[in-house]
Amino acid sequence: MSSAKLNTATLPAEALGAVALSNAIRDAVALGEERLVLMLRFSALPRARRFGTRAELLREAWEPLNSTARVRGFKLPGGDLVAIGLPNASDVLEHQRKILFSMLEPEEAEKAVYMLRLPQQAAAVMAAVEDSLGMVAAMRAMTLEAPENRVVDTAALASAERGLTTADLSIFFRRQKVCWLEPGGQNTKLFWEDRRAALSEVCERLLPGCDISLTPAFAQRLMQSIDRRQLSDIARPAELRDMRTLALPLRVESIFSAEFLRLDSIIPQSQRQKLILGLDAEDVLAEPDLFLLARHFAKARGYRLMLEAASPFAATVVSSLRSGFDFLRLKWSEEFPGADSAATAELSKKLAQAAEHVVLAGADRPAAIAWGWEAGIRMFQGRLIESQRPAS
Amino acid sequence: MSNSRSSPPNLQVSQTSLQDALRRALRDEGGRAAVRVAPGARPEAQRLVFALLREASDVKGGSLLEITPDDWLLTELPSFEAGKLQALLGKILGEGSVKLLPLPASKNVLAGLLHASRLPQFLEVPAAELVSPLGLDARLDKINLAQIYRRQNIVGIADGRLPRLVFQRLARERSGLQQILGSLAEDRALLRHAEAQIQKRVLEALGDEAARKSLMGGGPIAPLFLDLPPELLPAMSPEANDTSFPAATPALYATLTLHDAISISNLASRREALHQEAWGIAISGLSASALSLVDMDALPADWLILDWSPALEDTQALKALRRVDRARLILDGCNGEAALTWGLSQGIHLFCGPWIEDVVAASRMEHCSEAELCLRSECRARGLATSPSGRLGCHKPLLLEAVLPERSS
Repeated sequence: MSSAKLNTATLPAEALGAVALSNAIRDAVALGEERLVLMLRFSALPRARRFGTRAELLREAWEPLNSTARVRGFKLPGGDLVAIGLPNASDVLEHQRKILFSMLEPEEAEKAVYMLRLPQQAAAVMAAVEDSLGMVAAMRAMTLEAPENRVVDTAALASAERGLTTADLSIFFRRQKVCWLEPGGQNTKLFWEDRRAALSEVCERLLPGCDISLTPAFAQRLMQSIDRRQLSDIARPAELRDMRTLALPLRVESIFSAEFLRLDSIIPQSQRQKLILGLDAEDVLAEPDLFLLARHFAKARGYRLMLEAASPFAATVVSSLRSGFDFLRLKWSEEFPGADSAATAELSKKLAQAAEHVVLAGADRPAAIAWGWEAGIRMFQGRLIESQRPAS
Repeated sequence: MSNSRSSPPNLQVSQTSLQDALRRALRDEGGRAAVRVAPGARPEAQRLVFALLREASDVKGGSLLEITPDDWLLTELPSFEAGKLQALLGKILGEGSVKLLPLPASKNVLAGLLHASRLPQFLEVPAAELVSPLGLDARLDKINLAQIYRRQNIVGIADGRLPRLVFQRLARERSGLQQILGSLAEDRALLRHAEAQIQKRVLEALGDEAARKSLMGGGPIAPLFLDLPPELLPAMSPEANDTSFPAATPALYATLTLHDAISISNLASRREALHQEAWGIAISGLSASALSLVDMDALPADWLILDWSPALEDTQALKALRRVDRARLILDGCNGEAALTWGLSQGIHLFCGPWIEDVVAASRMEHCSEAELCLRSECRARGLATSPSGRLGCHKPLLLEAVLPERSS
């Protein structure tokens, strides 16, 4: 790909159209020159009118304006069309306006087709251009409904964090087995225990009536506090001596906490590989440089790393193998594509080289395991797995 | 525990024992080495390196000294342990950041420190304290958007022709919010929360005509890139799900950070639905390190915004880029010609960043009949301003509003 091939044709045409139109209007206003502006605003039409044959006919009817002398045509990003003409092109523009008008229902035409004059009606022209540029859409977006639950404010967060320092967290931790499970049920083996806090339950206790999902950054902070509590719980000689392989979800920042560094200094070298540090894909990408530092450290010390992906999409974006993870943990949900669908085929193709390193969590229903087997996955975690009796 | 570090008698003691520590390391006994390390500026890296150094010195002796904030020394360890430590730190920080000084062979280096004009200090890295969130709400309420937002430009440059304005971007100045939040911004979660709150306020301001005019300096000129947290993406209207209609070209691009983007599990279908409403998706924050972690072609976005740094020239980053359609890339953070040259050589033709704003201001002044009354820096600042007061002093406000005028043919 040489730079010689580049030309302006690769720049997005509609964006350039908008800029050119804005400039043309401002030029005319600045110089006090008279101009006629004909607008065809698809964005003012009902949705069904904006597309399909009727819209196609309107665009065809507009077409002559693009090659009329003394008239310059512009196409705007939302699809709206604008033509600016010199005063002596008024006949052509008026003729064209009538044609367009006749093609629409009167009340539609009133809203979508009009002729304005510069510089007198500059404000109206600019307002229409502004609308075409999508500000209407921005306003639609901000009609956010007020949340039903209370939003966590900083005072509530601070009090929850105080509560965390004294609360008995053990009741919030869920321990589940991660097992190797083959179709046919042979070779079932326990691989490790997954130990994670249920944030929703922590919040129910410490932030009653609040919805922490409305403030994701606060949720992240609470999880960091929970990480540190859990790390100091594990960093006890008795716990370390008898430690079996354990998967621990952590925030990337928690790896640099005093609690982790202390654990790292007392855990026997041979035990380090029994600790599988789970890092969430979002968290990894929030600070890639910090993650890389954490990864170098964890690898140099002998810990194993597991990438946790909240959705198949996240799993396909972050390349777990290339990013240096030993495992990938996917959480199955009803949103997953069906076991024999094309989407599953697509996902398993992406997971293919890693399928043996993938853990499918949320295996509470047979459908999850069926999906996993289809995708080549053999490691599972979930309520169905809890009832398995592994051979070892 | 009273803080006695600053009182003179203690300082005396600490300097004497510091000199003692250095002299002890200078003794003529072989089989030892000092470890010198540059931990870098990241507080996390400093805490980590400090913990590892202290672990070694607690067990095997030696003292920890700070020569400069980025130059640390463990005065002595038995050679074997020193070698192990060097290897470990090398894996974490990169081999160039750690140096082994065999003793007594390298004792000149240590002796030099004894006589340095600025004596080293004992190294102490305090544990990170949790920053209290209290006061953040009040601080956020007081923020005036115009203080931290800038009306930026994304220009197209191709074939050596003059740069053309292609998109506008309403974005935070990188350090503006941090400065206002002070120590609160040291906590990443609080900073992210603050960003999301501010982004919401900007969206609200854009919905109000007067506030919008004030922010944008008149009407919008080009399709706009707007940083948004995922929760502010327009909801999917039922009819937007019907993708049987051809999509409109986006007029507004919701700009998501990479990590926010992957939190939206159905981003691909959301994007298609948003296209029906003339919204598009851009993903920002694609730094050289991020490129090494993601499959860029799996990102469903109209535009991928790369963060310029010389590290993009590394082979790994180039490999990641090779699979992406160049026409979807924007190079952000251009701070000089090197960025532009690299971008053009990669087939990228859309650019933004401080250097681009210089170019925009210079071109605007070429068109301006009153240009001799202003400095380039003034014109640049007024173009970026997001409040009427920030634009005061301009003699050609219409030209300023137009950002980057084109000669009409």
